Amino acid sequence: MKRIVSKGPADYFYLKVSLEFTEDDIEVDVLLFKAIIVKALLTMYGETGTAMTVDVLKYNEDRKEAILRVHHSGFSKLWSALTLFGYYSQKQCAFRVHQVSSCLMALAFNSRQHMVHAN
Amino acid sequence: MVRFKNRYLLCELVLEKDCLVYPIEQKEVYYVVRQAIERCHGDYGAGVTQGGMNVKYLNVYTKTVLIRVRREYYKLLWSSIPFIKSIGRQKLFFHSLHIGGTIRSCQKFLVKYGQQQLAVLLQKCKTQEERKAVQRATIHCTWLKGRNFENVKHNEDDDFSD
Repeated sequence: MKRIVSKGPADYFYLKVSLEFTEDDIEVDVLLFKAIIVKALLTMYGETGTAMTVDVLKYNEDRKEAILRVHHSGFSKLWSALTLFGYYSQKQCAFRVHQVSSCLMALAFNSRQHMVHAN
Repeated sequence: MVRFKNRYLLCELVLEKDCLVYPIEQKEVYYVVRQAIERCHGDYGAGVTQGGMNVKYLNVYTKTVLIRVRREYYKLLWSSIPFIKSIGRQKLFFHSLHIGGTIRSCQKFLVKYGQQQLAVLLQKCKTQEERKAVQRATIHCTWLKGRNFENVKHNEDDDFSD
C-alpha cells in the first residue's frame, strides 16, 4: 500500500517587482505603491480581487522596487493583474516582475543580473 | 462529449414597494447583472461570463427570473447577484432560489416552491374569500400532480380550515 504525503502548495509566494513609468520624474512612495497594486487588482478582478491581502515587505523608493508577499491562492491573480496594468492617472506604466519564489531567501540573489541586494 | 454545460439560476425579484406588475425588460436585467459582475469580479469576471450569460426567462407578474451562465463560472454570477440594489429607479433585490443544470429542473423546483408559497399565503389570508381562493388553488395544484384526489368533490361549501 503506497502512502503519499503532500505538503501542499507553499503558504506564501514572494515577488520582486518594480514599477516603471515612461517618464522618469514621477515619485511614488510606499503608500501610493500599495494603492496602485490595489487598483490593478480592482480593474482586473473587481472587489473580490482587492480582498486579497498583498503585503509590501520592502520598498525602495529610488528604484520603485518592492518585495511583495501574497497568499498562494491569490498568487496567479496578483501576477496577472500586475501584468495587465497599463495606466495610472493618464500616465503609462508597467510592472516588471523580476523574481518570484515561495521562499523569501531566494530573492536575496539574482543570478540574471548578478546583483546581490543587501537591502 | 463536447458540449457547453450551463447552470440556470432561478431568482425572485423582491421590490421595495410591492406592486402587482413592474414593467422590466430582459435586457435591463441583463445589463444590471453584467454591471454587478463587473463590479465584484472585474474585467476577468465580465469577460468570462459574457459568452454564455443570458436572461432566459422573466415573468413580471410572479417576478421570477431565470439566468443562464456557463457551468464553470456560475459562482461568479451567484456571488454578484446579492449586490444588485436597483433596476432603473425601482429599488429591489434578487432573492436567489435555485441553481439547476437544466431549465426543466428549475421548472420542477418552481412548481414545488409555488406550492410551498401557497401554504404560506394560506396562513396570511385575512378574509374568507381569500382563504377559499388559496385553498382552491392548492387543490388544483395537487390535482394536476395526479394524486389520489378522485373522492374529493370540488364543493364551494367545503371547509378545509384546520
